[in-house]
Amino acid sequence: MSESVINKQNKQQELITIKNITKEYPNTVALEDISFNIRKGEIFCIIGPNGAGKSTIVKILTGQIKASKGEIRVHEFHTIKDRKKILGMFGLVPQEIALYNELTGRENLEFHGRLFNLSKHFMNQKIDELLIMAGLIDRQHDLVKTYSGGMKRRLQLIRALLHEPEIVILDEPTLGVDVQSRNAIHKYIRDLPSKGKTVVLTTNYMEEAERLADRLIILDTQIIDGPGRLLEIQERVFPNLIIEFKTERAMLKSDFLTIFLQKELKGKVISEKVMSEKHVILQIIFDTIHTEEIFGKFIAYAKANDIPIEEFTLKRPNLEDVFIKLTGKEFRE
Amino acid sequence: MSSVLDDHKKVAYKIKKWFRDLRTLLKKDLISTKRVKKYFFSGVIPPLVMLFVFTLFLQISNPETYTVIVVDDDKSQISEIMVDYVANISSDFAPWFTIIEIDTFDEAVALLQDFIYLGLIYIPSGFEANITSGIPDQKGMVYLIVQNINNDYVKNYMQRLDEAVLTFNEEVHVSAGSVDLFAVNLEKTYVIDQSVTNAKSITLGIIAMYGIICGLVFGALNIAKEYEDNTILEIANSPVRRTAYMASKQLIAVVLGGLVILILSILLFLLFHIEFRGDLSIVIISFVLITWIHSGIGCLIGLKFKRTMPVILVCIIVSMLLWFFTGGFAPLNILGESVVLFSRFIPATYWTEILVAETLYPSFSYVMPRLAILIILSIVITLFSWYLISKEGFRS
Repeated sequence: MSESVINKQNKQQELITIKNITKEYPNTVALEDISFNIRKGEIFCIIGPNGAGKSTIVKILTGQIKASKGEIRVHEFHTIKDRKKILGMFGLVPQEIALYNELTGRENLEFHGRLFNLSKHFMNQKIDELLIMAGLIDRQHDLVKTYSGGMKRRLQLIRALLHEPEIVILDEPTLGVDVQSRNAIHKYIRDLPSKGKTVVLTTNYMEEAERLADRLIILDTQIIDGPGRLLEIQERVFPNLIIEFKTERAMLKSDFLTIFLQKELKGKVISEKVMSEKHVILQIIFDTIHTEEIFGKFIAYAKANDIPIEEFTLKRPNLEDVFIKLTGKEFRE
Repeated sequence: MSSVLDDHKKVAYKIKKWFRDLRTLLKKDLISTKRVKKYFFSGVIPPLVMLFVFTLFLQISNPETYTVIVVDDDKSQISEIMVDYVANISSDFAPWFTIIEIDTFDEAVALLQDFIYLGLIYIPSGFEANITSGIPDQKGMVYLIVQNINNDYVKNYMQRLDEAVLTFNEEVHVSAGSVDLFAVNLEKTYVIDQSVTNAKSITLGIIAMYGIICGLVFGALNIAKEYEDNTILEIANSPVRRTAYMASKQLIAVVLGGLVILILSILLFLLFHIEFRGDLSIVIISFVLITWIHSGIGCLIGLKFKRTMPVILVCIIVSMLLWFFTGGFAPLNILGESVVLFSRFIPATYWTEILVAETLYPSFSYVMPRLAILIILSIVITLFSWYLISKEGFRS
């Protein structure tokens, strides 16, 4: 298939076009010249630390605020000028819990359905279906204020799906949620593309992006990297694999580390986690594409010199490593 | 032709959708309010507290007094009783008025022209003879002469004199056994319905305050709660009509305000024996208007503070200030002309005046211009608050 045909196909799939978006506030720039596209049916993830501008993109995307420069189009519709036309296309799960605490779970959903003008029959059927899916059917008549944080998050998620939106926008949907609920929410999100939904997900949980994203951008006011698949970004940022192993702390000053690994093999320690008084976990990255050759030498030297090595793994850098490498700073929670 | 029909259909659909949105929002707010007691009690408790404080304040204070001249030309036994009633016009609740007895009418008129005294009560000779004549239409006359009927404390005095004459009619009649033989008429004021007893102006002030506080508190709380719970995001990202949203917030304030005023009116009747007088429809219309106006202002307070507790405090303070400037607390003339002028810009002034007029001096020509001003103000304030909230309220 020729490149132009592929480009044409990609163009047809593009659902949201974000073009040169800048958002300035009196004393700060929240977003600086952001451009990317989101394709139909994908889970597109925007990751970045707090204050990176993730929620600002969501607000501009849903027409809640205007960009200082640039524009966003959904299909051919402008998000500000044609806001009325696009509102029904979005299902927004805001970062904050935004439910009516004095209403029951079901009443919250019914209220949403009426706002979106759903017919009574369709609405009731859909609510039942979603409540079952979210595991909230038994609690549907309880006031929302009696729900746990995870239940509220799940209710908020299914509320966004009630009016059958084309695009589901999830702004840090698992913020402050326990692991069990987080896994459940991840499962719903993962299933959304199979139901014809396009998902825009913002998060500052790296593992969330790793588990869910089809494509992503790394954002810190500007686009640091992307859009692209996680693997593509990882390979671009870290072309080599990393060796991680557990060893004794005494090895930190041994010839094995200082001469063999660092000088002969030109390895660089990127992480050093002290596990106990005796043990440490090291991550070493090698500035070469011949990882297998390095790996062979490493094993041979360790065996020959009785170097105590446990839990040995060859690993690819995770998103957090990528972020640190790209921005030169720790990922802020 | 078909495009005209299509346009009509579109308009009809939009109107239908607007009312559907309004109904949905109202239903939600009513359910929420029923379940959140804070809403309701914040509207009921401040007026009750103020009723208590106001009563207490007037009982222990000793404000400036105003003297009224009394000339009793009849000098009969019954006219002296009448003078006693007039002398006791001041009550524990409003100890502002006192009298001075002058022998001749001419001398009294001269003093009145010097602006030393508030007014002149004249009981002409033949007072007792008229009452005891046995002719039903022949009544004892009491004349009140004042120089400035628009003066707040003159109005207040006239109201009290009305009460004094009324009480005289009732109490003296009881001892004699016939209403017709012992009726006294007060000239310069309207004839007051005989069924009313002991109407205290304090109550009018309190009721006037309900209208202000209910509108402010309920309007502000409804908006602030949406921000506090972040549910404004749900509204902002839905296709709901913003005017329908604002109308629902103000309507809920009117509904709740009406409920509060009903409960408190019943309480006032049971505790203080206050009965309603005047044209009920005018009082209801003006109450709806004043609550609507203040709910619009309340919505702006809610938008500004976005949290329920600060909003309750601010609304109570603003209510007190507005109420003060309506003259609900004391006659404004004491504070000078500029305060009186300022009060003309406050909607609640007109509401209080309508309330006082309807209760004491029902007059179509007096009430209608004030009602018209309230209607104009409600339109202006509604447009202003809707504009600001549509512009700022749905932005993150």
